[in-house]
Amino acid sequence: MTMAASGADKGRRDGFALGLNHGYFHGRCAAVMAKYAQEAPLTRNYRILYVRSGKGYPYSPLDRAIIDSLSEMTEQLATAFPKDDVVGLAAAFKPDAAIVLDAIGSFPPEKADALRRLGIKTAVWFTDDPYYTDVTISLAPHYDYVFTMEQSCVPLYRSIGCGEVHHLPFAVNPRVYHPRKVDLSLRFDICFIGSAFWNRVEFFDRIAPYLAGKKTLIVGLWWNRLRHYRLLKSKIRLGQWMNPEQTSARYFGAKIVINMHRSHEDESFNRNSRKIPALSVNPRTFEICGSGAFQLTDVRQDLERMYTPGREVAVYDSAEHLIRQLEYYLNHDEEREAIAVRGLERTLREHTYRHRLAAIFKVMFGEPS
Amino acid sequence: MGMQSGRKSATRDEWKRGYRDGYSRGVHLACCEAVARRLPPASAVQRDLKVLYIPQGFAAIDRGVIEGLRETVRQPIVGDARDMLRLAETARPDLVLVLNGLHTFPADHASQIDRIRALGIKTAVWFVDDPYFTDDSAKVATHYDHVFTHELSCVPFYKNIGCPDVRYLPLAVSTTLYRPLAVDSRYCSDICFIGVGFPNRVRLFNRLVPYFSRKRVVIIGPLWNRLQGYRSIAGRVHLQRVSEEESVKYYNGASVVINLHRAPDDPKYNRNSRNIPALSINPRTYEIAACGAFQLTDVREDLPTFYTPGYDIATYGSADDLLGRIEYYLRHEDERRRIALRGLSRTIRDHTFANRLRQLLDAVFGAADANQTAENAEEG
Repeated sequence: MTMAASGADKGRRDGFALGLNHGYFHGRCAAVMAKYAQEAPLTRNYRILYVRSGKGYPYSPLDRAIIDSLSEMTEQLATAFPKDDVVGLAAAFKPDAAIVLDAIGSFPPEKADALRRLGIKTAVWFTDDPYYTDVTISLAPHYDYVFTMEQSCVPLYRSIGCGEVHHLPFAVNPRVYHPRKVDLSLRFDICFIGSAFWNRVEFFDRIAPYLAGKKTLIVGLWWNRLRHYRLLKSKIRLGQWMNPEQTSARYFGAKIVINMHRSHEDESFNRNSRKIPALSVNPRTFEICGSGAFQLTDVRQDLERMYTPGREVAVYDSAEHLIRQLEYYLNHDEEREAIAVRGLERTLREHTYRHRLAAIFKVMFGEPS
Repeated sequence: MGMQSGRKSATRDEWKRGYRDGYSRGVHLACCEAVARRLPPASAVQRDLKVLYIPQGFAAIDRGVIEGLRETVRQPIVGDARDMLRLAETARPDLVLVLNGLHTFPADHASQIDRIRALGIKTAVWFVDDPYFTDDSAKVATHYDHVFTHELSCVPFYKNIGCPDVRYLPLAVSTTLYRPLAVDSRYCSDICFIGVGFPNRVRLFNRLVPYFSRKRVVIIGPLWNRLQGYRSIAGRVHLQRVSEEESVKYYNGASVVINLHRAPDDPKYNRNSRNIPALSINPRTYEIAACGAFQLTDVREDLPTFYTPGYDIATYGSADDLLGRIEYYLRHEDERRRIALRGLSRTIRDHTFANRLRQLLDAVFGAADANQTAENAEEG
């Protein structure tokens, strides 16, 4: 009896101690969220027509994020799919501006021209740069304003005569990506979620023996291409589909989330004949930080403008460096958690889709900053 | 084998329960700390005054006053009641401030004060036991230049017996002592009460014993063995007093902390033969709130001046009402936490000893002129 009781006591004590740690970290994130939740968005009087990408994943969450934010920022919003009678809708709705997402292969340039002829300011936001520049370069001149997620493409569009070209990075939808209580079965030391592109396969094969010794979770397509697949098999959820909320939960549940950009030279992207480099960070950069997770990422040139390495994210530049960083941050809880909290704060302060749309409004309507 | 796996699953269940408890307390602690960080820093203005402070021996309040004086005056000195005249003669302070001046104070208390006044030194007393010991406080109050009482109903009382300057000065809390804190699972409870088992409290709690026996309850304080059905919850009652530091831990570990004011008309434990009513709230109200704990309190008339029921504190009327509200708030953690966070914020902002002492000094020396103080500071 006594033994059972003391076992139970110890169980409660141990559980409490771990719960307190996890809860305390969650509370720090919650306090940051509360701080930014109080900032109500400025409502504008613009009439906006938003033309969705109309494509499935990964464009659909982007459409949702933009519509979520626009609906908070303007009371006069119409949305359309590219296959709809967008011009007819615009003639009736008489928006001040039409914003088209992506447009590649979905929204014909003639429709953009027709919107312009109605006296509506038109904007396109390219989200696949630089990988489809062979296509986008012929679309861009049909719009008054060109926004691109890729810094390196700004001079490209300017060089073909586009007057208003602006870099507009990815961001995060805080309604989807945010800290949340995570079941213990979903808590891991190290987490990577994404497809096994060849550059990632090569990299992960080099760190596989290290990952095998940790509580690791890898989710995504094609990971059976690893040479070390059998070594990591028990840690890999091959091709498991997760929605963004589930992804965000696993980010928050992990001590460290690895981010690794795909290579711009990857042969799967063959519509970039000008070999324009990829300098800007992927959406995952924002999504990991927006989830309140600690991010260990490879370095794209633009990263420093988004997050301060060593302060809001941590970085690596080789497989050996990644292992050293993993080992260091797994053993330095306070530093790791402080970086994660600062990363979350920076995200909510500067990198939500609300911020991006505010930037669009500023450019299109000359709003003072 | 069966017993073994039974034990294992009991341990696992306790682990999970501990994890749940720890998680929710961890979240709340971090939010409390954030609330405290976001408040604007307290005023750093110090008056160029020398104040001799004579403690009562109420650890939490004395500590709060001393901390408050360090923030508000240039030269705070702490003395002893037996020695106050001699100290005043040598130190020549601008003010002798006495806390409460009862119980342990020497028989020549009043004559010492008279002689301090004769030296041309201002004297003030701050009564914090009103109205429970007014039979005693009445005897010394008239000897002071300034009387402060934490009890609203005692202001006319002291005026009537001839005190020249009487003011209402509510209590406050030391936020370095009472504060949000990480505690271990031993301090965790659903329901916590700390205080003496006075008859009015025992009467109310008698109705709750059957409910308490099904909950994780901790009751701390003398006289609680008089509860009806005491034996059914004896394991959860500590009859000894605990230190302030321990109280802080129990408040921090509790989901619901009950506050129940003592009765003003208790003939056995009070010396309030005039039956002066009690309108003002006890120090515990502030102390619980300063820990970021969720508080259910009975309602004194003065309460809404300090907290807004339903917003930054929760209240109850009858025993049945208390029971219903405990049950409600145990099931509504988010609501409970929100109220507690607001209570913490309100307390740190408004109910510090520094705030109260600024009022006291304004009353004794006239409102501080910020420019004047700054000039003095430069000269000093």
